[in-house]
Amino acid sequence: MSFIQDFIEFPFIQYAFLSIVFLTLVCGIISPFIIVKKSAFMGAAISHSALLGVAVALAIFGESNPWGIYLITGAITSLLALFLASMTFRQRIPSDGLIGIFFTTTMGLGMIIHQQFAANQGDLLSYLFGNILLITSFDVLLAFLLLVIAGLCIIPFYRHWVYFSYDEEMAFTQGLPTKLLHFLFYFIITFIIVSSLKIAGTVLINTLLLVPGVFALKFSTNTKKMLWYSCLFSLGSGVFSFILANQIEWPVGPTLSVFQFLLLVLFLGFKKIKN
Amino acid sequence: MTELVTIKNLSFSYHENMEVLKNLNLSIKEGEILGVLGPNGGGKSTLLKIIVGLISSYQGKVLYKGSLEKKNISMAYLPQKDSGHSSLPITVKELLRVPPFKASAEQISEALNQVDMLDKADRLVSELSGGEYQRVLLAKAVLNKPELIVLDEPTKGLDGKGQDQLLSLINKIKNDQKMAILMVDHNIQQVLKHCDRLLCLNKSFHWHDTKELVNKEILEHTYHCEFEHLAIHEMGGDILNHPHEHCTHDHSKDEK
Repeated sequence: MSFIQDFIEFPFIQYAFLSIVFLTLVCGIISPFIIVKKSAFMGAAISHSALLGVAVALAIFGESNPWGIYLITGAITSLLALFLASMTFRQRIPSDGLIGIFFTTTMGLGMIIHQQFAANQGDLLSYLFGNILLITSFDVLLAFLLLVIAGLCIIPFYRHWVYFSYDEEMAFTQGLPTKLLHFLFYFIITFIIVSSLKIAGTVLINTLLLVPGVFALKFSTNTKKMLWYSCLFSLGSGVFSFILANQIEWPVGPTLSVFQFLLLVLFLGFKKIKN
Repeated sequence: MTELVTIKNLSFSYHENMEVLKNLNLSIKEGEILGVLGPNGGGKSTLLKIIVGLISSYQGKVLYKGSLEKKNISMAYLPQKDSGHSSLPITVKELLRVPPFKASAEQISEALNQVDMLDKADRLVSELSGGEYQRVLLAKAVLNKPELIVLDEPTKGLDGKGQDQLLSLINKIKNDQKMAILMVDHNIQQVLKHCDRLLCLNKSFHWHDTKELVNKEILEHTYHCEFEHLAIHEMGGDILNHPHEHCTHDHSKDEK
């Protein structure tokens, strides 16, 4: 069956497609800043610790209450991200070790909570690698709101974000609200992760957060192009992999992850040959 | 001359047993260049970070034109970094255009012209040499006409000629725009040539006066070693194990 037929026939495909569009766009906006700020590991830590939030939410509400799952997962992951963000603000303590210990512990705790209190209420594996069958119209709405809010927080203040990611110390001494930007940065990442759990899961979401940024930084010659390239790469590869996954009946999250990586390698190969 | 920054009895420790500054008194006056000399780990960069507000958990007082409010004076801080420290594809022009100061195209061109970098306005910052990068940062610093520019080792990585050119440029900017400069540097000769006053700093030891009064004993006390062996001691590391029999300094008391 073709993708268009599936799209018309199944509402969950429509929901998943729209979610992919909104989430890849918001990932495209934030991704270059994650790479420039060398926060890739931090993103991985937040995404893995989101599993604790999911486990608690499933234990409380089961799978039938998307609002409850989103709110509890969002609240718990935000608290964990807040802790990480405050510990790493202006590198108060070396971040790598702390993040490494933190995310394995919270993930382990999530597994224990799920096994003990919610073993029959939802498949945790779906939240590790994503499962588009779980996506509802509510998730689409949340993804759209996230895109609007993150877009409004970043695009009008684009130069602030550029300076903040370029050199936080210089930006601070020139009067930029670096503390606000630091916490806002991690809150946006947290809500991208929480909103993407059903698409890519806690593990694969990192591809969406990182690959567009790496691509944009490799190919752009100024910061405006960086944002455009990142968004276009993220959106284009996201939509294409979704259609591809549907056609060959592969899981969306893993297909998206592998396809984005291959596309990046392909472009880098072309660049190398050209040079 | 008005005192832009006045420091009274400043002490700071990173940890309980790691005292970096002790009872430091200092003033930075309008329109002067104050050079800070001292060995690595002696507290120079820490002092700069305290002055610009990056470190706030210190003892003592830092007054800005007599007030505790940092906003009382306008400052620009150029940290110890090189042009390739960030992977951001930012051009020279874009770096000068970032907030909070909204510079017009004419102001940016004028600032770049002042540091002789106008022809490189569209280049990526990451492609600049160390000297070019420092010039661009200077142009950015002077753009909003601060009263004080704080420079952490601006000549790091430059050869002798490059150091001299950069420091001459800093001096020229200071004279043209009547701003004060606080500068950490390792090149004693250059600091003596270009600065008005000196702070010799090594943790609890500090000497602060006009440059004409500095002598061999003060420098030896600052660096905790004989002046003749300064190069060896500045480098640190394995070179200290190299036999240098004329040195009378007791290395067993050196900080590890």
